[in-house]
Amino acid sequence: MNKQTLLIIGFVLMVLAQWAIPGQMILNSENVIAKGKEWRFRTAPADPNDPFRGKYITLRFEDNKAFNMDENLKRGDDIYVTLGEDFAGFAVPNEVYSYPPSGADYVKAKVLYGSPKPGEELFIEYPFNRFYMDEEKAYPAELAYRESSRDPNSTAWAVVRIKDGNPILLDVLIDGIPIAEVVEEQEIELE
Amino acid sequence: MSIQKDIKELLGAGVITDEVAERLETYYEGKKGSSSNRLLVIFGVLGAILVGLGIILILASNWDDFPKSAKTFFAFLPLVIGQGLGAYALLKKRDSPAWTESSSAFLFFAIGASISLISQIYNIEGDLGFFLMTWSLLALPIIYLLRSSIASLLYIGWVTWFGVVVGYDHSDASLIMYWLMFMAVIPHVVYLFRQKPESNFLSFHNWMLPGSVAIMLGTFADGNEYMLVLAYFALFSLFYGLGELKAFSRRHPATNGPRIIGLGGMISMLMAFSFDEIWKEMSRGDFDFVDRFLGAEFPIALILVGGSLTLLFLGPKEGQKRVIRPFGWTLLAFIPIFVIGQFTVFATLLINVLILVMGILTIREGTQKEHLGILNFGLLIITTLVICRFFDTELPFLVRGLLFVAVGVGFFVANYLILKKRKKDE
Repeated sequence: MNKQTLLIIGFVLMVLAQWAIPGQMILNSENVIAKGKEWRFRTAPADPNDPFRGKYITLRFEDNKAFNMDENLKRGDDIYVTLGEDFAGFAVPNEVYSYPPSGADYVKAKVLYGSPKPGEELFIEYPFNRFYMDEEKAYPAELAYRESSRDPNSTAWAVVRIKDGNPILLDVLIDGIPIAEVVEEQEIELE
Repeated sequence: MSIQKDIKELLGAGVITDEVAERLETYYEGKKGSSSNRLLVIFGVLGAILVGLGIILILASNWDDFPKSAKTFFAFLPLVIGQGLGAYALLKKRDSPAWTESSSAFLFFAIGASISLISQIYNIEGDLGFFLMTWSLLALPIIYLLRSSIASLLYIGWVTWFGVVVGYDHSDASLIMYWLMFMAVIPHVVYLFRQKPESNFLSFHNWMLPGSVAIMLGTFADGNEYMLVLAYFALFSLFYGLGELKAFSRRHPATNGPRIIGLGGMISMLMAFSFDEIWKEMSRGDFDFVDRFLGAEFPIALILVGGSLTLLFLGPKEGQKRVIRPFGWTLLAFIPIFVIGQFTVFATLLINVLILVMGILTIREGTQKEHLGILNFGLLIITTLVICRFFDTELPFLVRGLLFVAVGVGFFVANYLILKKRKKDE
């Protein structure tokens, strides 16, 4: 096998690897979207800027505390949070484990802060806290959210599909309307 | 081109024959060809980088209007284009640096763009450290398949960034990966040393590699940061020793990254440690002295000291005699001062004496070699020391003023004497 052939084989392998990583991300995400259970998480956002991934809204969640059922956990540790639903159909976290619990719906997350002992509450950092938007819409969207969070009659929430603990964030809604549409309606009203 | 005028002038003055003139012209025509090739490479790479970044920015706008399938198509498009250009360069243009370097630069950025865009489409958060590590590892083969130094330089930059995120910020990725990924680029650097020893790309590598290691050494901090002081000084001394080896020192001084980083690092540390604040902190004595040797920092410091001292004895020779320049010895003087500094602030005075001695030895070296650059560098060291002491001693203004006058006069006299000696020799 001569050098040229080796180089071509090497190049083909490199190309396959470069396709495989984003390809796997797509397959995993589509699998969760197709077969995962849908949950609604009540939100309250802010708006920073990631240079690599365009503009996004950072989502904070109202229901982000749960009881630690396991050994001592510290900030940044991986955790598995069991989920239930409240009377209005929104997701509420119940208990926190350091391993995937069987027989319950759960989502993989991280410890936000606190170094609680078993039986104490700790704060959860959900992995679906970024919603990417068209850069021109991200800031007005944030303003729409702030108004919504000030108004006690308005509710905003994130729609998330979860399968085997892996979540995919599908959309963010204000009072049932996708936030991108809310921003478009506001722009039309201004004109 | 001015060389053409010179050739005509020499021919007219009868200094060279027609045959020699023709050979000179042919030679310089060939060189001109290679320098315009170099420009093509530079502009080709710049253009490729700008096009790559531009594509990312253009696709990011009006994103919401595309359906998911279109977004996914656009996410892969830069990658496909980059791979296509790379394949063409590999098969048809392997000997053209303009093609190999430009396509490598474009493909490098296309890899990151595809992963970023897919993350954006599916709102996947991800860990920055893992993202940078994945990107770098996917780009690593480009260096060897296309023999690309641009890809290599970008790779070193990205790996260093990854190391900083994992070592100084937070990430789930492992710091060991930085060192493994760093080692992965060394074969390419060895290739450049052997096959292209005069290339500018090698010069850039000579700066980036020691720079990356210097940035990453701090990640070994494990609660005993003061031991890292010794580790850093030993690292800079090691770089200096590397820079004195023929492989580096025979090239243009500005390309000798290890020597300049090593020298600059040692002098900066010495100047910083000529103030007594840090020694007061180190010798406070309110913690267990033995603890300082228990963390990761001490073995690292030992290894670096060992490496530096080994280079001291492997350094350049003149005939049978080992040639060691003044700063080659500095680490040996710093170690006992550092040990003393664990117990008493007296180390401050010793550091000041060390700097003064290094300055005087450098001046002496400059005088012996009749090298104005080295001589003035030695004078600059002493001047900087004097300026530092200006700010923190209780000396009366008269004394400080006289010190400055003395150093200033020293500058003039030393330079004048060397220039006079040169004129006399001519």
